[in-house]
Amino acid sequence: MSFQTLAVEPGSVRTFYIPAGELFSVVDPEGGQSFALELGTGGPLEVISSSALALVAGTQLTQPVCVDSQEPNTGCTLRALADANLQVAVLAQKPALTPGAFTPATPLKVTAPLNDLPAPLGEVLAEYRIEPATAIAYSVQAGQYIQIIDVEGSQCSDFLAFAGEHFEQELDGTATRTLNGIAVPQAGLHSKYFSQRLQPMFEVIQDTCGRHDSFLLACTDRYYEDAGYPGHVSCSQNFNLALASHGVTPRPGWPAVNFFFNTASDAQGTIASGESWSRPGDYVLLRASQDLLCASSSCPDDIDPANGWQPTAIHVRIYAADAGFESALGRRVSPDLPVRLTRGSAFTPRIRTLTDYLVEYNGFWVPNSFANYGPQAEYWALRERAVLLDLSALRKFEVFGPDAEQLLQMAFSRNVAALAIGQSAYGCLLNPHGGIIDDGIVFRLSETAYRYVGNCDTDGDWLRRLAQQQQLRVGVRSSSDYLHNLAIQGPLSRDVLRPLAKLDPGFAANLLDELGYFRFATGTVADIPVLISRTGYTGELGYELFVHPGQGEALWDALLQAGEPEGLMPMGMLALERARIEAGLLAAGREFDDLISPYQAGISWAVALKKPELIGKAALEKLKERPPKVAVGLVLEGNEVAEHGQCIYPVEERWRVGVITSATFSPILNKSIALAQVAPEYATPGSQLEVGFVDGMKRRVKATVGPLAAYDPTKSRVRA
Amino acid sequence: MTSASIAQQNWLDLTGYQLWDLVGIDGLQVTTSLVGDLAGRIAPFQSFETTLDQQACSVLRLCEGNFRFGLQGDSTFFEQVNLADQRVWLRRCKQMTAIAMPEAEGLALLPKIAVAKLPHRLEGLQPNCAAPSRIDGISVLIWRHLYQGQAVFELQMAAKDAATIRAIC
Repeated sequence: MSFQTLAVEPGSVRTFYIPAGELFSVVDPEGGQSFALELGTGGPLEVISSSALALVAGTQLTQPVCVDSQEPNTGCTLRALADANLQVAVLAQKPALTPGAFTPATPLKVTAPLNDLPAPLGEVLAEYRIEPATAIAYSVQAGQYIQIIDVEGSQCSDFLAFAGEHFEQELDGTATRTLNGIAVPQAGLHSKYFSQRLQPMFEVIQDTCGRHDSFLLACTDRYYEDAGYPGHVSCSQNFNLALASHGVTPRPGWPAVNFFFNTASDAQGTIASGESWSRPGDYVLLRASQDLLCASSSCPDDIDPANGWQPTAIHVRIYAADAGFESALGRRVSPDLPVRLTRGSAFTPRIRTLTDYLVEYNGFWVPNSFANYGPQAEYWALRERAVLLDLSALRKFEVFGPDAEQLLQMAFSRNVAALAIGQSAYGCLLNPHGGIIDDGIVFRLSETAYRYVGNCDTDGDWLRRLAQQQQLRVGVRSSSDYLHNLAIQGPLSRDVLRPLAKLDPGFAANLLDELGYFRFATGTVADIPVLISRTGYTGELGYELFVHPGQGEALWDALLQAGEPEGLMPMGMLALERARIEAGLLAAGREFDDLISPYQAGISWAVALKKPELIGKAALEKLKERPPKVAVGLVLEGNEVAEHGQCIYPVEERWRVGVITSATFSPILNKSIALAQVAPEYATPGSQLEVGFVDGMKRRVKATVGPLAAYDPTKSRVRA
Repeated sequence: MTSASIAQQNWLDLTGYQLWDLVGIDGLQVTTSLVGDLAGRIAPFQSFETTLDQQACSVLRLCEGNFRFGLQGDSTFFEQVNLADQRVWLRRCKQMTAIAMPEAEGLALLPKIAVAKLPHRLEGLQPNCAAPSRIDGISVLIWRHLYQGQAVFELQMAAKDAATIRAIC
């Protein structure tokens, strides 16, 4: 019997089946999370062992039971005694959390026997099992959903679709790539697939794997013959067999969508292949754009890593057109947690009424820009008036306990001991070689409680692991699901917020106007409990409001209404990107990653190197002397906008001295600007360099080195 | 939606109306020099009204550096614009034709017969906004703006499709 690990998020229920005699366990990894066990028909359960309250080893459970788990890693192991499969539900309770509190509920970890298939997404109209190394053909109607499931993981499945009365329309890779704006095949899926007549065939609604290739051929006899396996069955021949009864002319090789295949092309276009990334139960969910004849395979490739040298089954489910599944991508934040689909924030329902232009960012749907406004209008609203910005994709972690300060002094680059209650600091989490794990802000909530707001779910894992290694008395809990945040930014943001905001006593500021830069307070906005922080990511005066998701829509409405006379507007990511580059603010994957030190990324001021136990200190002391590159701002000649990754050269020299990390056209400066990292010898303000366009030789554009922030380098606006 | 089910429109007379395109890396800067800073404040598929050489002119932005001018009357102004040292081209759109209907009729009709390319929306399309769309599979740029002081929906399409679109609408 194989086992699966399920995370039960606070406030959610996970239901699974236990065969008679089989064991399952529930563990509370972080402690203090109460949960309930409910049994379906066919009990009882035998408690094998338990370190949680309300359960006694050796007893039998026939009724639902509520369990308190106090210490980290407490829990219970139980055995099903029923004759048949026993349905068990585990409910993790989710108490309310106000923005100023800091002990959120945490997920439970359930280890249970692995079922063959994930639960259906809805009512199943039809389903098909594709045995290993075979293919089938099946029909779907326009609007219906097709779920293709990798049953055991590491198994690939090719997909064909035909439309038209005589199936004369078929998928076309070139049309699909072109209409999706992607010139060459690449890992990953397109959002929509087209026929050679440029008509949509189907779209991808959900994908939990995240790694596929599109439009190489399905495997052919030729492939196996060339590899020394004449007579080996191939997907293309399996398709020919499956499609023969539909009158489809056979081909030696079928161009297909290749789900779960781990293929890639390198910079020279050479195709490489490896073992599939898919895990048991991973799936893609498609929606037919017209009536289709489909063909799906379980790939017979057992001679290379594609299917882990062991073809297994593929399962197909068909759902009705009115099932209404939402688009989402799967994201795995750590190896032992299940995939999590793209989420909306508390504000997304309101945002969706204003725009259809949402993109996936860090596991959330975020607006790129708003209908009838557009990024230019949103940008100018930010610079001249005020905007609302959904930043709920940021991850929040509560760090609390007697050793909380000690943990953050080790992990975070700033001196958090110097923070007063109600004060925050921008900095970064560091690794032992001085690289930036993540950047973020630490808020001091009390003598022993801090909140870290960053970008990665794994930040909490890192802090928790560090605390365990150092045997520190500190809890680290994610509060991302309890606190969504809305930024109100722009020179009039204070005017919009002032009549709505009331600050709680006990913080340095009693009134909004007294709230200093990088200071915060709890209170209310329009009578909604919030944490108000005078921080932002735009280079303008502004505030971030942390609110319980249950009141997110009310907060959005209140702010939009109050800001209307001031010209307040919602702002999307496109305008934000322009503003943050102007302000010289860092973005993960652009200006920093875990191989880049703060001295290279341009935030040397955010490193308190005098702290005795700072992680990476030894490496940072050496890097400080001469980082391999330093961050600068560039102002380009002309209006052409540079791109991430373009190389930087000395004037009229062939060799490189740096690279562009981000670039945009600055409307307020009316200049093309960029953030770049260059060798220290070329970082002097006023230095003349050249940015290489095209191949770096055909066209060079002169650029002048300046401060990292091209706009308001003294930060006078955010401090206003 | 088939043509038979749609009422015939009261098409406006666009005699003398011209479309001009200005395109290139320096397109924003040249347009700004012609019509002012407002050009840099609108997003692609947004527009504003202005005057050029004392003639009414609608300016529609199509991307970062591409602009379309809807001009009533004399085009000598454009023919005399000095583009030396500017990386743009400026020429009259001869491949396209524009037709227009009163705003009220467009608001009622167009969302029923046209499909906008996402993320554009025809429902709630604001004044001075445009949306690339299709009507019966034919590409039509639908633009809500002012023409000679009258609120209209202007439909721009390939010249060869104009008769078909007129017949459908």
